[in-house]
Amino acid sequence: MKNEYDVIVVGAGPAGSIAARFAAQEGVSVLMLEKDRDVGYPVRCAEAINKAGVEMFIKPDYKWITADVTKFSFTAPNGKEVVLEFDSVQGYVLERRIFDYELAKTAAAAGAEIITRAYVNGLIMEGGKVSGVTMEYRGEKKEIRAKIVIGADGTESRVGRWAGLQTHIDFRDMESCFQVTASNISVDPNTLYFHFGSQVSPGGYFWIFPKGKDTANIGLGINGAECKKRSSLSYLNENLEKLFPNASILTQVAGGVPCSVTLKKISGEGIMLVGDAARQVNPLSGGGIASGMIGGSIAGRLAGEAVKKNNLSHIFDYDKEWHKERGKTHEIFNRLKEGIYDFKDEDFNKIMGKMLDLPPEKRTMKRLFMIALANKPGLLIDVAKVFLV
Amino acid sequence: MLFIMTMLFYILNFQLSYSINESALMYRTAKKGKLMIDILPDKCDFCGCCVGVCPEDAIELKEAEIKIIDERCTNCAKCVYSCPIEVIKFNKEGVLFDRHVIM
Repeated sequence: MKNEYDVIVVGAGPAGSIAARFAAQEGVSVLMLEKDRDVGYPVRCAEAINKAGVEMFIKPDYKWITADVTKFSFTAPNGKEVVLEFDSVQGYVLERRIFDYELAKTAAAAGAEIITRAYVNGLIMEGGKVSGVTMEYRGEKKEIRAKIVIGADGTESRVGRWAGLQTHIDFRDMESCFQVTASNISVDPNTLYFHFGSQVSPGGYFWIFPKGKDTANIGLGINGAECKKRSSLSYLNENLEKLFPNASILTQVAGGVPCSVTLKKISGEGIMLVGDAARQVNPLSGGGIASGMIGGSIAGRLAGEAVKKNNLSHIFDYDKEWHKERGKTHEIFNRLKEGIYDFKDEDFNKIMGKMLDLPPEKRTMKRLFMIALANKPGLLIDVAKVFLV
Repeated sequence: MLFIMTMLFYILNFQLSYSINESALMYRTAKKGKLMIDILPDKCDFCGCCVGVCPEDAIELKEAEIKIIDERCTNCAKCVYSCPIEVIKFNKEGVLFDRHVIM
């Protein structure tokens, strides 16, 4: 570890690793710091991702893919189930503890230095500009200087805060999640299951994402307003008892998913934010791996270019580029989320009923949202924009 | 026999109350009549949900350590409501309450 780098990335998740890789590819010196002992562990993630999102950054490898997704199943509160089937693989369920590891290795191969158990606890600020981090490493306090710091510190998003960016989100936008990885259950290994309803998961959904035919990530997220009354853990225990009474629990994990539009400002003097820290999660699905990596790639590249050109204000282009690439779409997803936010159980029952009346070949994701938002015509154009099929 | 059992009872009882006092030390001193918040660090999963919603950056989270920064916390309770596993509690004059109890 040197005392000075061109770029420091705080956090070694997918967004951080991709940012580190793209910055290093520009030929500048990069250090990535991870607070936990391992890269990729603990896994606070349901691990599903769309196919294109993976392929953009790494060649799919069954070392870290546990299931190919070809079907989506939606279950209404009254138990009615709609299954959407596709001819080709739509996405994957990952093994994040290996996936993150492999991503970090690609960053290392590009020339980035990586250190774990390095707890960043502050920034070095000089004249309003971020110029490094302070951290604890092996019981010692250290200061490392950098031209640009990239905050990839996840849901907590403290790095951005220290730099003066507004990063905290309302607790109503924070989906409060709890998940177990359960074995000794029986699921279709190619189907992602979603359950809705006020008894199952109010203001969110209950998911079963298979990792093989006898194991799955089972969890749920409920929005902050609902969580105020009852915790997600208590809902999950109830659902598990009902659906999988004989399940063996292999892991348990809590987590918060920021389901909002991206922060107003994700770059500043010497600072950039990526992934969950920038609130780059798709607010409708809560999926954040792919969009975090896209954010990371833009931020990393711009940071590298800025250092190379010796023009640090180049990083301010990040906000615009992100907005063009994904931010705009996330605003649409957020509007759709707001549109279905206050749905009652009867609404879900009605939608699924209408879907089941259609012939199977006409059941598509677009149609599903068209039906769901039929009485909110303003949102139908948004549906047409984001769902091509 | 009875003597041993009595002794055992006293020893256990002593240890029990001792451990309660010990854990009480972790809690913040709640001001009289004021509702404060408190994290039970031994039950925490360190997921960072509370840190993400804290408007004051008043929660410090390491790999497996969590604490409230006293000077910054305004006891707004946003963290209490967002916690997925209810390990952030209300603390009223040293007695801990769940969030539903207070509502």
